[in-house]
Amino acid sequence: MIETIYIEEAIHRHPRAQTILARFPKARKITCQRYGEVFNPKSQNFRLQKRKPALILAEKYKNPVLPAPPGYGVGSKHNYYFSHMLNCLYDCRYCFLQGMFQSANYVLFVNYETFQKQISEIANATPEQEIHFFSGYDCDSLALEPVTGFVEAFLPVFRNHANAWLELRTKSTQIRSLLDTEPLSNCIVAFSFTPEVIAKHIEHRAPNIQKRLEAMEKLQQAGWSLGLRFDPMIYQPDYQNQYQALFKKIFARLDKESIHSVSLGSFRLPEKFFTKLDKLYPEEKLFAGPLEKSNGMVSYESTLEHDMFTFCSEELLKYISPRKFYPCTVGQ
Amino acid sequence: MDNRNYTHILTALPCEAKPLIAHYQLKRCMAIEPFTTYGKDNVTLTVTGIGKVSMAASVAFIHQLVGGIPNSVWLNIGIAGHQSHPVGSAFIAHKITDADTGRCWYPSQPFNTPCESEEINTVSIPLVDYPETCLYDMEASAFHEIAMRFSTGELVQCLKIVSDNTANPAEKITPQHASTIVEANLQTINALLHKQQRLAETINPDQPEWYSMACEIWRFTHSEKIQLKDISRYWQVVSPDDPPELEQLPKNHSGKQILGWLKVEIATRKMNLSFR
Repeated sequence: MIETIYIEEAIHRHPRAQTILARFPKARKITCQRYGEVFNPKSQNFRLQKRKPALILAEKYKNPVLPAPPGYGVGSKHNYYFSHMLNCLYDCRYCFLQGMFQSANYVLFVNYETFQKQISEIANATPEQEIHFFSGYDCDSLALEPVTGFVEAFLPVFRNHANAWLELRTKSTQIRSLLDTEPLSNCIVAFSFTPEVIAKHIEHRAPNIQKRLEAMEKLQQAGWSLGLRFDPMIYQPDYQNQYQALFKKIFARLDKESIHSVSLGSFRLPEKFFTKLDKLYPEEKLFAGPLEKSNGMVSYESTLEHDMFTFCSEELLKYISPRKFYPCTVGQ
Repeated sequence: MDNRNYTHILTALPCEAKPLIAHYQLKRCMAIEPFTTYGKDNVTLTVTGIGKVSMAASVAFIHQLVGGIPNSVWLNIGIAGHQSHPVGSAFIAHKITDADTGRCWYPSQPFNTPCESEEINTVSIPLVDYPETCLYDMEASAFHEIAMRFSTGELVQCLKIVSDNTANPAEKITPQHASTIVEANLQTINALLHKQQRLAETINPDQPEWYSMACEIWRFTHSEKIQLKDISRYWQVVSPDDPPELEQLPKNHSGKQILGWLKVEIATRKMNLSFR
């Protein structure tokens, strides 16, 4: 799977780097000073690199944990995000990472202790307040778990801070490390979905809906809190039927009591990201849809966006309580 | 030569170029003066001369010569020294360091490489020894730095063939020998070029036939051509089997009128946005 690994010289001896390197004995190993030398140059093509991404082992120096954008959250007033990894194993055509990063290579920050320290500091600063930490912003939280050991390393931190909540956001079925441990009441395992036809066409390399649901069922049986994320909503001429069918399928399989939260978000990209994506994938129907530009963002035409949002909200509220429903308003 | 998907091969020495010229049946382009250049169809081969300055100038020159077309395939082929790798073995560069500045580049290879890869140190003065376990050459850093300005990094590659090592010192290299070891690696060179060209095709997609037809019949300004390209791309995505019926339009229409007609057609036609 991983055939090339770039390693920052400074973390070459880090135990996590050593473990990962040992896992890929046949991969070519190339040292660099800072990961940005490989990851940031402009003259790179995300689409081409996605064919065979390399892994970059790096150290996170500054700002390991950041405040989440306003409007992003599932119930807490205090929301942060952190990215132990940049880029994702999957290749979802709507993903903003394609527009944000020059490179499709995976960057893994191996100094988890730096993230953990800041998470503990934030949690300790206001022990009486509930604080949410989102881990799946710049990557899929679980997709590379067998390599990263992310869950195994971070769950103990959250076990020690009852006020700190962890959201793992994923489309992955890599749930073994969760099933192997006691469920954590302050951890939400949130799965993202789009309707089947859309997922099949634009969520390349991601497990299909059936497999995601099977993983959710296993986690539910083991006692984990689950999240459902319908973000972004994608337009299709018969989107009503498609989303109705999706919701029906999901809620037929899952126990509503184990669902912590459901969020809904529109398809929105900064204009600069959208332009880059459109150039990368000129044959992509998604980008030929009924979109408009407004205030530096590209989204569905406002009436359509409103209709989709209203329709999906009403449909979801047939299955869940309003107190569990979190419409995402980032950028709106 | 048409306007797209060029492949540019650059070698420092005529003896490195010789087997390539024969293999690809390239013809000397007599009208091209500052650098000896050969070509056939969309392939060019330039003999740059030794060193970084000559290489950098050649890359820029060739890019302009073919009209500044972006995202072409670029390949630097040449001989290099190494402490211990056997003479005649070929390596693709995965890291290039300019020994003068210390600056590094990391060529990305999102394909199965046809040979092993190695780090290259580009030096300005020929070395008599090999202080580090990397390849030593005199052009790769300049080639990479400048070609990356004209193409995406995945299409810019360096392939070096070991000509000398501790047991076979550089003083003994002859032009004949350099040609022989390049020739012995033609299969690897072919395979690499093929992979680069496949990548280039992915990001330089064909325009539909009606686009070329429109460009031949009507005159479009530069900005109108960009609009036409956008429209043709959109059309290709949402209605690939039902091209616009341009034949019905008068030949004396302006580019602007053609674009206007196409926009109305798009607005009135039912385009297929379904993924099904």
